This record gives sequence, structure tokens and C-alpha cells, in this order.
Amino acid sequence: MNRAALLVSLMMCLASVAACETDLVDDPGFQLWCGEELCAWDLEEGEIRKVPTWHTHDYGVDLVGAPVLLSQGARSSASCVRIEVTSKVEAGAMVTVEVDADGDGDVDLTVPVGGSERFVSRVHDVELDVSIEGVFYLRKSGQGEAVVARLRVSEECGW
Amino acid sequence: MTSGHRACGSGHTREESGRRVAAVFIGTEIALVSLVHSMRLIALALLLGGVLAPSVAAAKEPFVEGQTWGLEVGLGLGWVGDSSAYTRTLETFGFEDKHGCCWDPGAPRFRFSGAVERIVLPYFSVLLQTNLLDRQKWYRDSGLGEDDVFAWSSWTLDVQARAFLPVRKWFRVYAQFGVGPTFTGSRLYVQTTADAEQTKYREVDVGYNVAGLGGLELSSKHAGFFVQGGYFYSPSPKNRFGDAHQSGGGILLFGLSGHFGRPL
Repeated sequence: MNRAALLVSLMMCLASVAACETDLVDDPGFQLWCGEELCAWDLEEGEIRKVPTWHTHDYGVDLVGAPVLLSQGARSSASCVRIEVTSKVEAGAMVTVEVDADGDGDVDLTVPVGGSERFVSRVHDVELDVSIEGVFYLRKSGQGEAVVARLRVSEECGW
Repeated sequence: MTSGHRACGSGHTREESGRRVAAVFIGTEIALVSLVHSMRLIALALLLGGVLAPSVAAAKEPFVEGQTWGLEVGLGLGWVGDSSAYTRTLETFGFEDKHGCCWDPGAPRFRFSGAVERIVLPYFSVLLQTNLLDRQKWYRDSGLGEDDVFAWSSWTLDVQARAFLPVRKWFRVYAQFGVGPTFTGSRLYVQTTADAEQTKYREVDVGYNVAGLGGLELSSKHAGFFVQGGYFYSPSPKNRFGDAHQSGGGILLFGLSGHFGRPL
């Protein structure tokens, strides 16, 4: 490897170290189950079920029927938010990720989760000031199958 | 008359001489052409690793004096594709093939091979062969502390049919074809309870593989070494969605061999 290539590689390494991601929710993979309930998420409305995804022991949450509402308070504050959703949602199930940025009860951001016949991952970067009182919601409003395998919310502060 | 006869005779002789000279030229040309062709054939034979000329000698001098059993152990490199439906699904679920920023996913990976050979006919043998194919380790930010880890390694157990040509009693070239099962052991480390400890889940995927290999081997009576290359098609492991990973691909092995047993 010549010096220029080595220098570029080192810079890429430094850049990857410099970029940081702070998770704003616990258990983004819906892996922790306390019996029939998720340990880290609050079920505010409806019914959920633990289901296997690509692996027998890598779980997702099946949002059974409608309406279903899961919520979790923010772990820390953030000024720019990345929302990553891995899901398989039938058309008509109407699944959304909602953010109440300051915990006042009003939803400040709604991100629709598109329908798909198989699991797909989608990423949304938004500029939004989320306080430590903020709340994240996963809502299902329509009928149809909807399994969410991952809902990761993180602060993006890469250079 | 006599002189005429002689003249006639001598003319006849000159004609015959001319014919003989022509015949000699033609013969020489044929000989030269034959020589050139022979040289070409010899060159071709040498180029092909002694496919033509030594075959007679081979019949007189069987490889490693006709011993019927062999053992082989090889190490080398393998090449698989950058991605597959299986690895793309892992990416969808948040896993990364982390090897740092400078890792090339298409880089060759370690391969191992072991085999037992039994010569059952002149120039033909059957092998029971095992190969380590692809093995990978993927990581995912769990958001719970330790990263989730998913790792797998694929092994084959094949019956291979080998046709070989003993160029010398100490040197042979061969081609072989094999089929058999592929066993892929996987381990998933995830935290699935409120306990801080991760749980390890083991699974074994049983698939199949087909292989085409070629090689050459140099050996004394009992010990030698070989170079072997070829291709494995092995769609294993598979996930719950049916997405498969091609764990085979191209391989290049260098190894040691041993021979023993009574001749056929």
C-alpha cells in the first residue's frame, strides 16, 4: 500500500471514530421481553406479540390489531435525530413513528413507516430538538400485519 | 545401340536419380514436417503437463508405485462474493461485517481441507473430503451495552470422484468432482432478558454442495505435496426467510499428502 492510500485509510479510520451515535431509546431491537411484555417499552394501547424474524431468537414485535401504541421516554436530549426502522408492514396497517420532543403531550414529528412485503430498513434524519422529557411512540392505526424488528433512535453528531 | 541403350539407360538413370532426389527431398520435407509436428506435439505434451508422451510410461510406472491409500491436508485461500441475500438480510437487521475501515469484504479468506483417498481403479480414485468454507462474524449495536454478535462457519463432507494421470511415478495431475452435505454452525449472542448477560443460541444448518477441483501432486513413495484449485457451490447457511449465503466460491490450496497400502 502506498503512502497516499495509507493516509486516506487512516483519515477514514479517524473519521469513523470521530462520528458518534448516542442511542435515545433502550432496546431498539425489541429483544428484551418480560413475559408477554416488552421490558423497555410501555404498551399504552392494544396488543403485541413476540415473534421471530430472520433468526429464531432475533425477535420483533408484532403489532396485533389496531390501534396499538408503544412508547418510551428519551434517554438523553438531542438536536439532530436519526430514526432507523426495520419492519414488514402490510399496506393499510398505517404504522408511524411519532416524536413528542419536549414531553408536553403534543406530537412534534410524525414519520410514516412505509408498507413492504418483506423486511426493509429505512433511515430518516431530522433536525429536531429533543429534550430529556421527550417521548417516542410507535403507533399502528390500521388493520393488517405489522412487525417491527428494530426501531433505533439516535443522536447523529458526525462531522 | 549400346551407347544409345546406354544413353537411353543413362537417361533413365538420370530420371531415376532425379526421382530419387525428389523422393529424398519429399522424404526430407515429410521428415522435417513430421519433426516439426513432433516437436509441436512434444511441446504441447510438455505444456499440458505431459498428457501424451508419458502415458505409456505411466502404465509401466504407476503413481507412488500403485499404493492404494492416501491422506491429504491442505491450507489456502478462498474467495466468496461481497454479499448475498443472506448477508443483505443481516444488514437490514442492523448487523455489520466490522473489520475496521480498511477491510475489503472481497478479500480472500482462510480455507482448510482434509481428505482420505482410495484408488479403486487404475487412474481413478474415490475420496472422502472435508473442507472449511466461509466463516464470518457480524456485529450489531444492541443499544443495551454489549454488541449483538452473529457468527458462522461452514464445513463440507463430500464424496469426490478423482480421475488422475500419473505423468511420472512421482508426479500426477488430476481432476475431481464431488457432492455432499454442508454443515453450517452458527452462534447468535444477544441479550433477550432483563439480565445483563447475553444468551448464546446455537443452530446448525444442513445444506448441500457441489465441487469441481483440479490439482497436481508431487510425491515420494510415501510423502508429498499438492496444489489444488477449484470451485464450490454451497448455498448454506439459510435464514428463516430462505435467504442463502454462497459459502463456497473459488479456492486455492497447498498441502501435504501421504500414501500407503498395497498396490491394486
